[in-house]
Amino acid sequence: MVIDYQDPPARRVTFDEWDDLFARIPDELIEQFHYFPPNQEPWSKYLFPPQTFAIYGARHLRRLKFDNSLAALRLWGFVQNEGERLFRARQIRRKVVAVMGDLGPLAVIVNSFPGCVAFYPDCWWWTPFAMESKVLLNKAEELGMGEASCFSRAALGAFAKHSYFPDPDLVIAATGASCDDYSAVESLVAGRYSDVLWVETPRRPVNEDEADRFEQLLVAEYQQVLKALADLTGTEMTEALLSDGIRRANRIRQATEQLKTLAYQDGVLPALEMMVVEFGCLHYYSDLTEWTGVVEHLLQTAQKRKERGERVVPEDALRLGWITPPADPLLLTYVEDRGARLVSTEYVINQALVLIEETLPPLRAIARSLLAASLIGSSRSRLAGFLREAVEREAEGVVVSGLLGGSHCAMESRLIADYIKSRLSIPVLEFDVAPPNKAIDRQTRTRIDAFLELLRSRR
Amino acid sequence: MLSAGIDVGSVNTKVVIYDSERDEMVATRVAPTGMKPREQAEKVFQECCAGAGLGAGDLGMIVATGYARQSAGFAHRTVTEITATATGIRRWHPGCRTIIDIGGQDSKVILLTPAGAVQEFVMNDRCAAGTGSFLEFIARALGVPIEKFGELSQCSQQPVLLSSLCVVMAESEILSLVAADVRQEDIIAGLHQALATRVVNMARRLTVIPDVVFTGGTALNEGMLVALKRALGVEVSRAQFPLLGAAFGAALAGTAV
Repeated sequence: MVIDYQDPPARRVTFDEWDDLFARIPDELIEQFHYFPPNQEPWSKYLFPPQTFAIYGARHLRRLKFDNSLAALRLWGFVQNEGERLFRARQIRRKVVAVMGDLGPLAVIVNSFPGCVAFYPDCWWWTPFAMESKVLLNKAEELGMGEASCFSRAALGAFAKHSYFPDPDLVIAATGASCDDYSAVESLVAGRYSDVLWVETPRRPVNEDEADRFEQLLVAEYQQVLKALADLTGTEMTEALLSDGIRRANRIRQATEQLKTLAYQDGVLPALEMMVVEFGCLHYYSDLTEWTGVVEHLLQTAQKRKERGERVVPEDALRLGWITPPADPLLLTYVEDRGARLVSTEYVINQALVLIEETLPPLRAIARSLLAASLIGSSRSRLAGFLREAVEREAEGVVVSGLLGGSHCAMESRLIADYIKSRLSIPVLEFDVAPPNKAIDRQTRTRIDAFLELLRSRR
Repeated sequence: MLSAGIDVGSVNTKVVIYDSERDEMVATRVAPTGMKPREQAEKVFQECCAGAGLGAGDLGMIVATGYARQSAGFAHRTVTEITATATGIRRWHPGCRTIIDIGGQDSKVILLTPAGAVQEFVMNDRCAAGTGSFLEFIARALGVPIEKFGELSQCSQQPVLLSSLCVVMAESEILSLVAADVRQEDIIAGLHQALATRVVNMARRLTVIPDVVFTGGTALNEGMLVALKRALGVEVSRAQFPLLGAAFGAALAGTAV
């Protein structure tokens, strides 16, 4: 069925404007989008008026600005629907598997098993920021993880509440060379809520011999995962199934890479949506097939905009690199409102963005992708790709936004700032970001405004 | 041309009216900001204009700065206090390359280029440790007017070593020192040293280049100036008008448009 709908000229819109835009989309078009495709049941629709997100608690979204395309509406509808989708997965007898700590590779393995849905409780860290609610953080504090630890502690609160996602059929937790705070979350989950299958993560290898040994170690760990999943599902994993899982993951990673280039080079999508897209590479918001559709829809939109010469941020905007995702997404809206745009990012999830080699034995290829993880080696190695893009796209300044309480941020942010200054000779702004409140706090606003004034004065 | 700079700070609101042809400040006013920065900004501005016999129509440009700069809705434009302070202090002190600004809620270190533009800056973290409000809090706990701190600290013979600059923990520690009959002068000098060390550690995240100028309300405290010099190990001068640097810089920014 051909449905006549054309996106309005590209721009960022307020929440209210966005709601008005929704009203113009034909019902028949809205009906087309369902999660868990090819399922077309009425319960699986996920495109709703944006106001619905606020009614169901995502009140912080009302302060942000959004891309005005249908693809972006689809993106947000899909992301906001993840909790419901996981409970629905349980109802339709899929196996719900929580993967924790490795941010990318384990989800590829789990999603290769037919009938399995992988999700990262880690990503519930996002919830307090969209929901304008500290309920998960407060719950985590009750359980011993307070402000002195990273926001990822929200995942612990979510496990304790038993209402943000179904109790998983299996919990797989990566530990070892990973985030200290999150290792504490995993320990508390293991101690209180669920048996955990542990996966040891090695540090980044420094030579080929180490790379070989670490890959072998990971392959052995992943074989334990395959066995647990086979026991859970009654399905024996084959090399063909795993290879197919890798191809499907790579399809999303490739589309994401193309989107990053279009957004950060040609300014055709806002930074906010791009952050959501980058995070989608971790776990596909619990539905790999439909997420592929969402990302490819965005990619088509971005390509059309480039062809038409449309942009959402001016070409002469100040060009910024951004390291570590901001705890308050409003910051991304804010810098664009103040005349800047992002050209390069490093959101601590490199392992979810690199392409998995399709010519290697599958488990070995997945292991190799993990060894590209952002947090398992030195800051210098973490920044290699970021620096390359920042140079190519002529970044004029870099923002390093630490997660308040995040142990790696407290230790690493200044190191990163100094390294970038020494390599790029451009100004770097480094500061910690607290969870969202009604507005950006005055000190943060002053820091950003002054930084942008500084960059402007250098032109 | 006359321009006005209004600095709506966390403690005080400051207004400077500047005549660019005569290159002089023709009127200034400082008053507490209080809990209603919007009303107070307008009031202090009107009082400053009235004192100089001026109406708003006599001013070519009004530029607001300071943490509540958006409250001054009558201003034509805003600029951050970092840029404004750099502009103002550099005009008074042409050799200045490093500015240490300790205000009520923030402390900042600003490094200037040889030409006087902002090259880099750092600010304190979100807590009050390392700011003027830290000293005010302790002044209240000690029952000593903050204005006396400078003079008293000069009489210290053995400054105490504080183990924490967290406002809450420092208060508790200081009350213990008072109970142990430690001299007030030594406690206050110890406070200055601790605060200076904190600010200097922040400054060392940049490359501190002389001339170093100390500004902000805390720069009126002679004891802090001495402590900063000692901690930094270089000469530090007090800004010509420590309270007015940002407002003056904002007024100068008004003439540049």
